[in-house]
Amino acid sequence: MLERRSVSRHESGFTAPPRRISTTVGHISGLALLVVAPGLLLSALVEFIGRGDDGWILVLSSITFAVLGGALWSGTRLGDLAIRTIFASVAWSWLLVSVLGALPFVLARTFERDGVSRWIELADAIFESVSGYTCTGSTVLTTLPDIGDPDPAIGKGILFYRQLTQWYGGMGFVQLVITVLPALGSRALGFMGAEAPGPTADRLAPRAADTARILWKLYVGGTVAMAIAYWAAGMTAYEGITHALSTAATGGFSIYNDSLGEFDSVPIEVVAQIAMIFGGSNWALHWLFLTKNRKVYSEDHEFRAYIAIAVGATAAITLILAIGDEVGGFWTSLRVASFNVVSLATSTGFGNATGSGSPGDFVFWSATPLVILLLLMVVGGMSGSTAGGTKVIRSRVLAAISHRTLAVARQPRAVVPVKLGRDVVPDKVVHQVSLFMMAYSALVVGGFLAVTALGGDVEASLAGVIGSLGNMGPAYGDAGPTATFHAAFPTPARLVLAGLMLAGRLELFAVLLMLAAPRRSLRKIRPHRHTF
Amino acid sequence: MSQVRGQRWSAGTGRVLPLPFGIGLTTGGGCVTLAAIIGLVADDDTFAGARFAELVLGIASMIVGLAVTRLQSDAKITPTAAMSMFVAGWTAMTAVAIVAFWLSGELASPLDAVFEAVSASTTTGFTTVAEPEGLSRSLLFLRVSLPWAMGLGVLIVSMGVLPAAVDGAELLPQRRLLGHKQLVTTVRSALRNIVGLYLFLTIVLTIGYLLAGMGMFDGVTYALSTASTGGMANHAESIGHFDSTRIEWIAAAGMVAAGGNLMVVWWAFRGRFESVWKSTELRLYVSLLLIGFVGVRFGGSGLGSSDSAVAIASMLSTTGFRSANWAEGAEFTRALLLTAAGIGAMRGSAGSGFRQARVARVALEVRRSLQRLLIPSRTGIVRVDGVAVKESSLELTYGHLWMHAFTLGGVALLLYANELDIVGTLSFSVGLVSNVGVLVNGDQLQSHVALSGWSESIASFGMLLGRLSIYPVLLTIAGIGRWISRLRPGQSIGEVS
Repeated sequence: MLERRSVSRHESGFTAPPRRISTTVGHISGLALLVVAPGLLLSALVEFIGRGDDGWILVLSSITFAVLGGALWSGTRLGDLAIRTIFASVAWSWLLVSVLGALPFVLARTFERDGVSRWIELADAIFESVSGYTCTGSTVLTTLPDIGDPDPAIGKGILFYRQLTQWYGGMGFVQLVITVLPALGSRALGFMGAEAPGPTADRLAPRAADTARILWKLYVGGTVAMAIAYWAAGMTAYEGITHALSTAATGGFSIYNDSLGEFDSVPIEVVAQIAMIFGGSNWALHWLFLTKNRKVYSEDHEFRAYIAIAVGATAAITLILAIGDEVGGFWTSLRVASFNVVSLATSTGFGNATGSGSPGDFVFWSATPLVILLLLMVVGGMSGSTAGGTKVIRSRVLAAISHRTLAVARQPRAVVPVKLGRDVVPDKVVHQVSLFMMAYSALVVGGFLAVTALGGDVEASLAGVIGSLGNMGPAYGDAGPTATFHAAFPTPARLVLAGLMLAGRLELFAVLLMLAAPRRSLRKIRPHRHTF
Repeated sequence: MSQVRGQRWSAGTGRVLPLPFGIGLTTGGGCVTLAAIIGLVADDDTFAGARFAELVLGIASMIVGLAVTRLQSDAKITPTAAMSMFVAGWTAMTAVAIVAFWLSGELASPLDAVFEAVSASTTTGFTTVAEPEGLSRSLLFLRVSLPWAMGLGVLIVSMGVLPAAVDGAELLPQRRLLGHKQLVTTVRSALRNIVGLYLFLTIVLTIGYLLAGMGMFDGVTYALSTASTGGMANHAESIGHFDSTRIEWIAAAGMVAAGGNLMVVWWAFRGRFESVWKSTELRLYVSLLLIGFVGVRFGGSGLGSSDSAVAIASMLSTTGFRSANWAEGAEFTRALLLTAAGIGAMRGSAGSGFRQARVARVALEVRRSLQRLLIPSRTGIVRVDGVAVKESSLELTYGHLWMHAFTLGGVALLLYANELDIVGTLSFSVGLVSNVGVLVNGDQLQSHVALSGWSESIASFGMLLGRLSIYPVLLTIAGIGRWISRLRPGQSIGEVS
């Protein structure tokens, strides 16, 4: 039968089409590489306009992304769409894009330093790329320019690409893939859930692809608005756009050595804080506010808690700094406290320190403000935002679980539901939140021990691990807001932190499943033959 | 009038409180009396006035305590009542100790007396005294007898009273495996076994310390401190003062035993290793001890074997003894020991912390959930000690985990200890909530703390929350709040029902 069919094809003059492997992981990863390629081309354009030397490197990187992505995409087709495969697909896409995203840095020798081997350069490039795509904002780049630097070591295009990595990661490139892949159908929501921050993915339209489109449109609009606001506050157009890219994504990369402290401008810091709060809020709320309900913010209990936490932390730190006369007067205390609280509560990681030891350099503050900031790093922003951390909603659920535990301890036979306000939280969500937090705690402890074993000190390692899992950016000790992770952690420790960044961005389980699920799906790979 | 008073004590859980309150007063008074007698015999005459005052206080407390225990208290012991009883007993004992510490005149302020008494009676081991060598023997003895009494109280409540009162309570050791049927057939026999085992451990440790070269006073006091996981020491360098490998090994072994479930220790002593090894919690405890020892010994700390054993045993058992300044060593060692302090000892021991059993449950639950994610049709069961754990019981464990985390965060947040750096603050918070009694501040490992009044108050409350497993304190506070809210103007207490 088979023989007769092949003879028939030969005789008819047709050649057999290429066989497409049935693997969801490969198909989604290919598309993810494809959607990043135009960004690299845009960066190349910026590099050419800025008369930098690395324009062709960015073009070459873009071609590499396009060719590899195209090959993966066209050579595969969607296969198993079980939940574990969806999680694994998202995780592998992120890993592939993050690691391959280091290519421009490697080719441009961005991390070249005296006495440093190519392998260390490669590791640094991967760290920077992972930190970018996961919107963490931790950096090992020691050669960032200052304002007005006549001879910057890094071209504008490379810096633009570095900012763009965060923008892609903010809303998530898998979500971008969903907008162009109708074949996913109802399973698209599963992909969104696997990538979206928070316990559940919000649905703004009946079809998940439409929801993804709405969110991306909002994201682009928000970024443009932020760029204009930055420009109006005193930045140049280039500075405004690059900082808007990382603000909308709550990423925290800056094109300058001292982050936003380089500008030493209150208006810019105010714009940044408003924009960070916007980015760290649930983007679905923004859409609902614009289209349906003007009271949506005040009615949302997570948003109220999110704002209350930021205000409370700012007030506490301001008072402690002012009473202890740690950074100067009340207004200076308020300025640095509010900025750093918002920066860390939204997991952005911008700094407003104008140099080591300046008021905004929080590693010089007393212990209590640092404890507050550390707790903010754990809590993070809202679910459905671009922010990291464990999310405000989970903290609220945990508090409700604790309350229930206390009630049950008092009345062992009582049936006490977990409630948020008047709403009863379903048991499934309660269980998921508990499980997530247990896995998070285990990763914090494990990461802490691993990073200290690899040479990090206790202070920097603890904050570094929590910061990496929460995609924050700066840590404590030698990895503070005016320093880089290069000084605080040896290369192997930095790679562990990069792994934690990925785990944190994908909310742990996708990464935990990425090794197990493909092994199962590989067993099921069957070449798919097109029929005529 | 007496009828009104009777109604008063019969209201709510209050009807069971006189007994533990009286026992607390009597115990506290007993410790103070014994310490005063030792002081009168061993200390010089400069302390004589204070010793007589303490003697009077101790005897008076015992008399009042014994009288209070005779008040009506015949109610059924519910879980809430048992927790309130625990808090009542602790409060009474600590109140007597606070007065005794203050009467001694050897502490700088009343707040220091509160801190010292709370630290001792919660088996924590933090101290406001920089040089304990300068304290009178009476005070030194009081500092170790209080945790010893508290350790015994913890064991009696957790293994004797609660198992008899509550069916399958979360706070308890697995009754089936850990001896409820075999060793705890009645409350009376349970108490007899527990007291016997605890005394036995203390005597063995005393003999061990004496044979290893300690003097009689040091031998007894360090044995009391070791058996109770108290960690209070007669010397600023803790057991490192003796610079003796033998003493360090004995201390390490004693701390391991004290941090283990008392029944399991007994079974091990009786050679019933098959039963012992069924305990999931014990396997975890032994594994963590071994991993911790290897990590500290070979993780770049530069510590010898005995020092490494003391370090990991001290942290996991939540004792807080020190034989060397391991904070000077590798960062990994500090991280490892900080983690060990957070995990804490086994249930059914005098130790504190989050507890090994809960860690085991959490780890097994994470594993089960990951398996479910991979194979959705799988309905895994969490088994501890070979027995399936009820889902409701697991939920309570998670609840306790988050309550523990919130407590830790809250204490760290409220401490406001400007004297400490960020690592010191976090380490202090873990030490308080786990009742470890040792902190890492900069490169210094210390038990001595010099804090503001606010910080000392928060620290005292943190130790109390940690020692009493959080629930009892919060439930008692809530109960007191409810009781007060019921009192309306013009309504006598006797009318409360």
